[in-house]
Amino acid sequence: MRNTILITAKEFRSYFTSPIAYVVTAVFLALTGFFFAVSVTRPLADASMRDFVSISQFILWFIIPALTMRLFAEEQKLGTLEMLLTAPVRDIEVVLGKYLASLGVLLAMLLPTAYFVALLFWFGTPDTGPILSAYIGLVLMGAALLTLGLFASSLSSNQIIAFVVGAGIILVLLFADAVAGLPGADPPLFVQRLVAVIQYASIRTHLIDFSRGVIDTRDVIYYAVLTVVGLFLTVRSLETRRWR
Amino acid sequence: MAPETTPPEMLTPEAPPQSTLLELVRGLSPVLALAGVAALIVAGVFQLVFTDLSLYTIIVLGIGAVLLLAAIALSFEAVKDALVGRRGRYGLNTLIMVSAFLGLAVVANFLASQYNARFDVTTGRQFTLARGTLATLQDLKVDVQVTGFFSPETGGVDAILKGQAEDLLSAYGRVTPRIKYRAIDYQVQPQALANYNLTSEPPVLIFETPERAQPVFGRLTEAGVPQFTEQDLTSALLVATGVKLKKVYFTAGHEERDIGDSGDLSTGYGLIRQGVEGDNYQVENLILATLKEVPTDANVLVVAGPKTNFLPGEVQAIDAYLRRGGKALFLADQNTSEEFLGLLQTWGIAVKKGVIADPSRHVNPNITDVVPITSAHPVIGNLSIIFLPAAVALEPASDKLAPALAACQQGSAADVDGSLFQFCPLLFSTPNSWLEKDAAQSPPKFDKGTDTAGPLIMGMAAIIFGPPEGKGKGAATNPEKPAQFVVLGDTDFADNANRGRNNPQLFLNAVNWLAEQENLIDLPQKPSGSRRLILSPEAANWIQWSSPLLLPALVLALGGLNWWRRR
Repeated sequence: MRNTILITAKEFRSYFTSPIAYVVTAVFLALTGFFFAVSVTRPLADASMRDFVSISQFILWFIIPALTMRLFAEEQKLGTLEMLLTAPVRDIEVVLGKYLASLGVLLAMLLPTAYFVALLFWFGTPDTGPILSAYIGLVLMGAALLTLGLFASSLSSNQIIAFVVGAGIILVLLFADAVAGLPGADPPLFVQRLVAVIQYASIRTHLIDFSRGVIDTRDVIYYAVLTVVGLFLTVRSLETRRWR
Repeated sequence: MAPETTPPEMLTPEAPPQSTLLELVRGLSPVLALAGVAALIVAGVFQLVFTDLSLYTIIVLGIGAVLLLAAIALSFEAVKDALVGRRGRYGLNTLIMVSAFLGLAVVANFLASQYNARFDVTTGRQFTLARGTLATLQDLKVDVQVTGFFSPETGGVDAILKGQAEDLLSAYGRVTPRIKYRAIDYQVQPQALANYNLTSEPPVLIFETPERAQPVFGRLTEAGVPQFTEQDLTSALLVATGVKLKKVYFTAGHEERDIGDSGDLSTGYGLIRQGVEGDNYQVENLILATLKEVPTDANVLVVAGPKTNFLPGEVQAIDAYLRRGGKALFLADQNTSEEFLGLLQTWGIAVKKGVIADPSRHVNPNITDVVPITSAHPVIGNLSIIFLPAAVALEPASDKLAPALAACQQGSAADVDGSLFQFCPLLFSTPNSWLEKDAAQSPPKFDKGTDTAGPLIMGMAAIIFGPPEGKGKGAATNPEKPAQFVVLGDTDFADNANRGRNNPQLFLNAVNWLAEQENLIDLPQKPSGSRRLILSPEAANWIQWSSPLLLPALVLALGGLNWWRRR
């Protein structure tokens, strides 16, 4: 655990000593801020964060791989990963340390968006429950996506490739629900079930209830399981370096 | 001479021809493997996209399997090495572990999807369905296709109603798979909307079973925001599935028009009755002298031109019905009973007897067969040509109620002694018309001092919050439900003789408009889930500029400061 904390602290600091965290955060805030402003200034706008959440998931699609792409790819390129893996730390500690650091950056990135909530309270009377559930959903989704970005970073020593692979995996999971339109009218039962399973695997279908103000254990478990799967794959990916 | 022989060591080492062929074929094994995998993928896509191509799918699947097996057989040694060699064993071990872990993840998600708990954290428990709705959904025996006609491009109202409808319907869909939903942009596909004979303009949700279709229109909240409620949707579901139909009662026993008379060209209302039933209503006669009150399951009460006198108890029964928020369609003409007209007078509408004559708009040759000018109102809908033979005129019962007419144009209600009144003129004659007091005069002509000059109102839709006598006066009313009624100054227009014209549609529109506000199921009232932002131009300006610029600027400034310190 101590090793994990040390790695987390080191990685978190390194995010903020380079321009990456500032630039990524600024881009995220500028885009979400723009769409938030558009959504709440239209006629009959609702005093809620639903539109913010629905646009954030698409912005996180490329923000998250940008945050995670360097975590393992850079170490592989510089040759420091071998040192790290031969040091007296377990693979899981390395992975968790880097993951928690990126999660810290994500939370730091979301923190300033409390300004949008403050604007809603300033000019209206929003319902607090859906705002809290929306943030819980966004953090759970972000936490799961970070593990996928981390996994992509462990696959290559090239940061660009890590970014593209990470963004590709997230894109597929974001739009998995689009398969609903593929089968023709009245498809066989097993096709219907297959489509239902793929739709269930879609990341964004699990965020809808959170943004409405409903917390469903299905959605919480989906994101928790996805997070664990992502971390597991990353550990296995690092482990393969010992015998490849 | 001995034949020349080449020593064996000088022979070029040529491989036997079979071996060369085998090597060549082995070289093809990656191509075969690739083609095999491609065939399997194509088979999968075939099955997903073309459901009626199962034979082709099986053939392509078979080809793929054969190609893969051939590839494995040709490179058996290489495959074996890859599996049982050192790297192969580690790789296989990892593959098994990853597969097992992914399997566990699938099982965890499957269990989570089967045994889930939901926590509605909204203030009014907006997404927690009422018991009545849950029971209705669980009892569904047929599939219900719900079609939403919205045009989100046209602005806020469509987008808001679409969001509300989809929120509610997704909650319904979690209870039963029998609810199927689709959204259609009616501006892109107007023909899809034209298939339904709707009385009001979209946005609209249509609940449809093979037997019947029931539309639901969004209703306005007190804040003027459109809204679909759970009550509206569940009521529509009950109608569409035939579990429960809205009830329309026609009073009888005072020589009203007879809904049992379907005779061709007769003065009965049998054809109107069929039309109302065709719009998914249950129609019954109501003998008030026996029942003493309007039944609680009445969604709309129709009083169609009573000629003989209402008993005091009968008038009181209709008055009590209106006071509890009842909906009614009243038809009056010059023979209508005085007691009934007295009731209308109490509720703010005076009927001026006589016959309206309009030389500018009438059906030739009779100038008393008036073709009125129509106003923009859901009761009128798309109707443009209606004709009312020998119609009477309507007006507010007193001068202090006159602002109720102006309030309609502003979409508001006039405060009269603490009660709120909105009177919307539906039909009116031209300024050239007059109310002919002498019915025997032929041809009718305007007699100054006797006849009343036009324009004259011939139809009126009224909504009244509070007692008609004013706040604190008269019997109490339902504070949450306004009295709502339509008064038309004619009874002939809807009789069997006038079928085939637009006139019956005017009657049906009026019933639909009144019934739309009625629900078939009593569900607990939820506070409105919508909390609208009302922004001043300055506030909107501040949000527009500060949201995308202020925070990024601060973050970049922080980054710059950090860079400066570390420089």
